[in-house]
Amino acid sequence: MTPRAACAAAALLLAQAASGWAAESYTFDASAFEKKPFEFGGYVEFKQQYYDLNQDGAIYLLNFYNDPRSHINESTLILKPWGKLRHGDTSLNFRAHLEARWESRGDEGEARFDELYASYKPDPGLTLDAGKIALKWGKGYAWNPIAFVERVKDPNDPELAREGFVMALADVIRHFEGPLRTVAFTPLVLPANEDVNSDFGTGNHTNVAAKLYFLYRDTDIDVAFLSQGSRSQRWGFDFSRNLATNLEIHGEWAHYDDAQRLVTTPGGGRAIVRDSAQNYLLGLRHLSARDTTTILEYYRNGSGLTEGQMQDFVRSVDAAYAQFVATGNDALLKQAAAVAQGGYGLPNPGRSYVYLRIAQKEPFDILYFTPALTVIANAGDGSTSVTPELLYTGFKDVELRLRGVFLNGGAGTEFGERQIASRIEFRARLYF
Amino acid sequence: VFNNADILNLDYSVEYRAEKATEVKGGYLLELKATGPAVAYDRLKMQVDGATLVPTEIEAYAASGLLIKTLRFRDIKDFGNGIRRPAVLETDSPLYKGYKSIMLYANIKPRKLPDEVFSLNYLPRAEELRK
Repeated sequence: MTPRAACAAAALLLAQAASGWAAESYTFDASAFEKKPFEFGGYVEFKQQYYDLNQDGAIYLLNFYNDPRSHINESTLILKPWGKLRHGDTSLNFRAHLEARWESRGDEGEARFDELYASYKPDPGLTLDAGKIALKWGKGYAWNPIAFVERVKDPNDPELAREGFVMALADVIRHFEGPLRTVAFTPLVLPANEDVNSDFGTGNHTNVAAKLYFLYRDTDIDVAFLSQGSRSQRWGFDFSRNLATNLEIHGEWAHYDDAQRLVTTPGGGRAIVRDSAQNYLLGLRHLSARDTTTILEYYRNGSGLTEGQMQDFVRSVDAAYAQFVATGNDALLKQAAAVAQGGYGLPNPGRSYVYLRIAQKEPFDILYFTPALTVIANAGDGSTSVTPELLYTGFKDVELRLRGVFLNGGAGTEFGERQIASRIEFRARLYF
Repeated sequence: VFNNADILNLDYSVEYRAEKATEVKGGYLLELKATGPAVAYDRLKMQVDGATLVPTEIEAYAASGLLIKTLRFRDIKDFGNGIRRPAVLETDSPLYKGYKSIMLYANIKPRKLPDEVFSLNYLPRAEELRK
């Protein structure tokens, strides 16, 4: 252990002020930033969305065949409080999610803990956590093939906080001199049955997973593993390295022993396809001198659906809808809806994708303003999702975001068969 | 009106070389040129306090000669334990007329921390380092 002097006790305050004010007029109480026995924070969010429905899309037909409409207005109110209660080396942590949605077809509500866990940190090199925890494994921005024990990230909003799973984990960190600077080991146990983590997978299992991290010659490397249990055995690695101070390269690769997917057969039936699969991702992140951030990723989803399987599914929905129109019998539509829930209707069910995000901080000298453009393309069928957005944070503790999502693609393509053609969203957050 | 290149992610002696040093009233004026293209500002004009040898004002220029921002270090004080440095950093920029950023430093104390805290795994728990 090398002694290192650090000024970690420094407290600092950043103030944005109109020019002409004397710096000497600013003071602050450093004790306000001291660690307290109980800390509490969070945000309240209001979101208004207008959906322009894609009335020719397969997913639209499944969800709206008996209630056709051209658009939907939806209002959402979300409260996301978090807190931490400390006692010595132990803390109790929570992050909750309370949501209410109002939409012309009906109202819905949801209340849950995204995280609720106890943490014991006897020293900086050892942490023991138990409870509901949201992990973040992998280096990808939009997708994470090695996120074996997490809920799936939404590529349209990758930075959204997600709900965790109940688990017990240890985190051991060791530092060394030489080319290998840091090693960290994170083993965990995750039970899954009807009562706990019921949506993690099938059956009643005690799942074991682990991640081993290395900082080797300034390259971050992780090796991850999940045992056979509720999900099939899988393992993989990731890496991240700065090629220059403003340019980073990252990647992930994962092997799945047994990837299962429910597909539609060319004859319109259903079948479970089982095979091993390799999922991988390669990405770049660049920050220009003008504060333009560019993120570019290629994602290969080896366990995803082929273009042929996608088209078989669309044909089966079209046939089922034709039967419903002719006879009023919706049995085939309900069957197809069940298949959609297993893959076709999920975000990015295909095999290969390209992700591009360009964000410009404070263009035209407009402070606190960040416009961005995100494009997600299905590289197999050429369909795209294009998302321009405007973000403004100029009011104290308030974040305002306006974004549109425009889906493009022909018949039989992923984004061309989605439920919506476009979506306009306004989101306001107040942090406390 | 600042970024990490102004306050955290910089090492003047590595990233810049002094092309000219002039004695001025109260200290020195250094004209610095970036040693490579990977730094935020191509040239700096740095005024240095003669008594403490810490910067008091830095003008940051782009390669085109455009003044991007000015950093002013004020209120040089003794925090104890051999730490003598400015307690106030002001930045302003002709690109953002009418605005300035001010950082205030207080209660700076040296602490020995284990190397393990300077790791990716510890980063989400860094707030626990507060006293």
